[in-house]
Amino acid sequence: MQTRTTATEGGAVRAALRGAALSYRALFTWFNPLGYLSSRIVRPIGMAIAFTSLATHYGAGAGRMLIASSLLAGAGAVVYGMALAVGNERSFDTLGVWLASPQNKIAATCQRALPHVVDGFVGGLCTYLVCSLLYTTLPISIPAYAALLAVGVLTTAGFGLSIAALALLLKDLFVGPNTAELVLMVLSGTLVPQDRLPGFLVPLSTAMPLSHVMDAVDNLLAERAYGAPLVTELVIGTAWALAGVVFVHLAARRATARLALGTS
Amino acid sequence: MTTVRTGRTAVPRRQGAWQGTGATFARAVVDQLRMHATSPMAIFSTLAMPCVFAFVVHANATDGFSRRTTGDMAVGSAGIGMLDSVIVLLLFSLLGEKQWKTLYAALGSPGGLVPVVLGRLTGTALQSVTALPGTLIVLGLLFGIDDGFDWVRWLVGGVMLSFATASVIGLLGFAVLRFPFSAGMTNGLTGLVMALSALIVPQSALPAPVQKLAMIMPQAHVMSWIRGAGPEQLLEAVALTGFFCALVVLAVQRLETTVRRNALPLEA
Repeated sequence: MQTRTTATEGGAVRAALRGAALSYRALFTWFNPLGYLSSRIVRPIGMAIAFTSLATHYGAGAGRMLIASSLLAGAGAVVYGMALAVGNERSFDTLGVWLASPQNKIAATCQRALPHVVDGFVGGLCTYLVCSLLYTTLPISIPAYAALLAVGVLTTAGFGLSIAALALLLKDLFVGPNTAELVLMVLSGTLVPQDRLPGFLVPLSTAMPLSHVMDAVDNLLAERAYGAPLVTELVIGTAWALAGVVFVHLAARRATARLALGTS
Repeated sequence: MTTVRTGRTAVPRRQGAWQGTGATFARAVVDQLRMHATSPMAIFSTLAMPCVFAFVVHANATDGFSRRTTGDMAVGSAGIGMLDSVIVLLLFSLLGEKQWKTLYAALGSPGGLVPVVLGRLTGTALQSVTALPGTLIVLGLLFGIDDGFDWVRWLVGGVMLSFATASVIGLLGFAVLRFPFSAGMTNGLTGLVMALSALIVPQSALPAPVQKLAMIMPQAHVMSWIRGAGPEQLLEAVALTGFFCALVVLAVQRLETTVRRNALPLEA
């Protein structure tokens, strides 16, 4: 009996992973060598070079900005990936079929997030390694950075759920993720430290993914304990994920109704 | 008799060909502005992106640097919008030409594909110039204008930057026409060209290998002039812009030959 349960669970995990891989192949349009290299490797590295040079130009040192822009590279990949994983259903004219299918839309969206979380991790790590070589500095050890990045991409996936919900509502596929990326640039504490934001934006910033990872980075660079901010970050990520679940549910219901009325 | 006739008609024919080429070029410029000037992506690229980048630059500026909008900040931020909008708009317009199969008609015309591509490119450059005043208005309202703001360098440098950007991105136009389009293939250009163009920091602040590559980018020379360098930087920028334009023309002419000889499809 126990063996059967384990076998069923194993089968469910395999099915979930297979579904995630299929969605990545079918719905992620940059899944070709040129597109992937250009979008997921070259673009974030170029951005990270520009921002890290900005920090060094103003005498702030490369360390913090190098880590921040690499974390942002990982987060950006998750946000774009999750938006495309849902929004491309519209581009490929399969949205109606998907909405009409008995598949649980929330579970499907979470499943589709899996490869993008991994992808974001790979992109963020590549950016960090390449920029560390270019600036000949390794601000924090690779395992420490990898741990911070893992937390960052997970919490961004929670935020990404809301962006995926938006992709069900907006016809222009890129408006949601483009805006989300700009919001992350300004409010996540990565490129603009919280103490340099206007006062009214600080509460918003503390509610954004990555902001507490950046607190942990600051603590780590100052050789202080950094565990507590990471716990807060995970709580923020869970809150975003819960909000995302509600948004996806509502957006899927609205999109289904509009589809039935022929107005989608 | 035949010789005389040929001699008499050859000049008007050549004039007609040049007029036709000019008309195709002008038509392509107008088409570009008519079709894409008010698209949401164009507005997003030319205004939202540069303002966010300017905010990041401003927030990172430490004591000793101006806290108000300087010329290089205004043009550099606008340059990011120009870069993004030129890439997006050129991509959309040339993919549209491919999709509508209008390139075959252009190929049969006296000027070939060159005036169409150059016209589209000029249209995107003109369109991207809107980032210059648009960004300045927002930055002026947010941070105020610095007392030492050099208006001449802002205007001349800004216009020059848009054409320099378009000339470099023109090579992308050739790539889009020559090779089958794959999604995402152009996304990396924004990050790469942004870093190489020294838009938000002086060239000297870039890592050593990137600094060397930046030397061949006309935008880096324009930005250097805006930051106070001598007129030789502007001349270098003009020369490099001309060089990139010539490369685009040669590449498109080469493409025409390949299409004619090898029946390369222009709609993939």
